Formats: sequence, structure tokens, C-alpha cells
Amino acid sequence: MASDRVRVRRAAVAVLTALAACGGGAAVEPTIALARAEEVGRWIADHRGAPLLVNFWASWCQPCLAEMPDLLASTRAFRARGGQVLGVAMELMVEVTDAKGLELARQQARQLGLDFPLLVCTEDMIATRRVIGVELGALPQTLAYDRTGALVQHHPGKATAAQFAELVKAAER
Amino acid sequence: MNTMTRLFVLSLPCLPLFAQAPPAKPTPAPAPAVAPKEQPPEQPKESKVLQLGQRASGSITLLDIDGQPQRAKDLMGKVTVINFYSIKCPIQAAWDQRLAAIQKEFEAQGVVFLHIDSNEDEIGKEPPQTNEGQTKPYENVRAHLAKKGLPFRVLVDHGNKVADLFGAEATPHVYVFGNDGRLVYRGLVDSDQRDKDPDGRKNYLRDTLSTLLKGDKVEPFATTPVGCSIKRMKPAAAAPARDGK
Repeated sequence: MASDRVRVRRAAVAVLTALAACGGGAAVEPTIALARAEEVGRWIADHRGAPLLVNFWASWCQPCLAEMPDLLASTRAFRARGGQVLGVAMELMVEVTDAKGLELARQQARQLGLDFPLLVCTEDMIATRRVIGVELGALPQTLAYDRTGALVQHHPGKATAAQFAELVKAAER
Repeated sequence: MNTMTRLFVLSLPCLPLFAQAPPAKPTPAPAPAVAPKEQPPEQPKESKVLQLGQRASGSITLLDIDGQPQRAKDLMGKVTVINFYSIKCPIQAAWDQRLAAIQKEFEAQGVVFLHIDSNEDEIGKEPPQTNEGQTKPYENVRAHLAKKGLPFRVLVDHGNKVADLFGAEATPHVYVFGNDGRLVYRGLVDSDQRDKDPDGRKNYLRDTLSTLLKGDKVEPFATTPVGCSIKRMKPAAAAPARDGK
């Protein structure tokens, strides 16, 4: 049973990755899947070759929700140029199951009109930052990776439109 | 001006903000085998933000939710834990019961625990206007503590002045002061957010307190907190973007 779940999750991440690679952000409905921290790291690694922003957020995090319109608007042209944006939702709390976390993130993504790929991380922030090798602190957090896959900028906390523009610039440099 | 307002005294000292004890020698903290990696102590620098190895100003005074003042100078000589707290943050909630257990164990040994709520959306911009006989202030905080059975003494930091003085980044964010008043640890309660690995986790807070109570020296160290942003009334200066390398 558990291995079935892992297979389904891996398939979902693979589909998500393929969809993102095919046009990144063109979909109206966001693609969304559960992912372990390792799979988040793999997604980032697999997108080497394109500039990438990774935004860590959660449906319960008010500053995260507040910055989303700026993230969307500030990355529209970036995504049209081939840049990638990945949202990683950190939904899992003491009483939140994987399925519940997926649903919370999906509902919030619809309300916000998110149109870039989303992963809902099934592990906590400490495990996630250990795997991706970045000292993530209080949500939200945004990372910029350049085409070589190098982390070139890390913005802790809520970002403004200007700060997202800086992250885009850093990723495309 | 009502009683609460009169009592609300946050006496920001004249510069320098902190007592003039020489900062602790910046030697690296013992590195854990795995992340979350501990950060080395900061080098002494011109800053208004409390640094590892420094003493907080004795003139800081905050009121608790019952209007009772807590003066920093009264904490000298006592090992003290200060946690930046939130009643809304689900990540704080993940640590609530473990923090309460640590508090119970170490309060019995004389350690003082204080929880500071600096979130404007929880305590408001200013102390509430109340009159005798009316509902007690901060009813939301009281209800939360009662519902969860938490023995926390909550101080209210309107205007997030103390959060800014401490450079608090998240809830929860714990600060441990030795009985000489110096900040020896800042960061996570432990490395196990979801309480899934009681045998394997790093117990930063508990171990630091145990070491202090044995009378041993703790080289000041920090870990990066995880949690919710503090909902500041006036956001602190935007955190600088970090070089990704």
C-alpha cells in the first residue's frame, strides 16, 4: 500500500515536471502534487538549464498569500521567456494529513489564480531545508536559481514586486 | 490614559543599548552532523540588535496579559528563556506541548520562561482600553492558553519593539540567557518540528539549559528558526537578500 502511494506520487511529480517543461505556467489550473523533500530537490535539479524561482508558501501563511499577486505579476514575462516558477506549499502540521494538505493548497491556489506548478511537501521545513541545502526560515521564502542550477539569491520573508523583479534578474543573469 | 497604558513602559535606553560586557569570544559552536546547521556566533559589530554573547538592556520592561510588568533587570542572576510566541501560528503549535514540558521541568530548577507576543494581529496596535469590571484584555490569548492547557506567561510587545531589539525572526524563536545575563543560544526548540523523532532529534533548548544548570560554559550559538513571520506593526527593515552561494 505504501509503495503504491510512493509510485503514484512519483508519477504525479513526473507528470507535473513534464507539464512544466512543456510551457511552464501556461495552464490556467495549477498543476499540483504531493512531494517528499527529496522530490522537491529533484524537481529543482531537473530544471537546470532554465532560470528558476522557487517560492515556499502555505495556505495558512498570511504574508505568503499577500505576496502571491506580486509573484504572479512579476514573473509573467519571465515565464513567457522560458523561466520557471515552482511553488512549494508547506502545509503539513500536526493534525494535517497529506491529503488534507493537498486539498488546502489546491483550494488556495485556485483562489489566488496561481498558474505555475505546485508541489505540496509532505515533510516539515527542517527536513526540507536539510535536503535542499538552504537555511529556510519563517515563511515565505523565495529562492532564485540560474541556468546552471546554482542558487544565486535567497529572499527570506515577504517580497515586494521590486524584490521579485530582482530575483528574476538574478536568475536570468 | 488608562491603567494599562500607564503601565505599558518600554523604556528604550540611550545608546549603547546593551550592557557593556565584552562580547564572548567568537568561537564556533559545535557543528551538528546534519542540518539545521548551527551558525557561528556573530562578530561584534555596531548594531542595535542583540548579539550572541551580549546582555539585553536591563531597562526593557514589558507587561504581561494581566498588566503585570516584567523588567529585564529583575532577571539578572537567573537562567532565562524567552520565546517569541504566536497563538495563531501552526508551527508554534507543533512545539507548544514540548515547550510546555521543558518549561515544567526547568522551572522547577529555577529557570524563568517568558513568551512574548509581538504580533499585531493578535494583540493589537496598542494596549486595549479597559475599565474596572470589564472583560479582561487579551481574551483571545487567554482563551488559547486555556484551551491548550499551556502554562505560558505571555508578555505583550505592542509595536514589536522588543522583537526588533532581539532581531526575532519567527514564532517560535527561543532565546536563552545565562545567569550572567548573556545571550547564549537563539533559534529552534529542537530539530524535530513534527515530533516524529524523539530519539534522533537535537534538543537545542533542553541541552543548553542542562549545561547551564550544571554550571558549565555554553559557547554562544544559534540555529535558524522555522515558523511564522512575526506580524510586525512596522516591519523591520527588509531583510537583505542573501547571496545564494
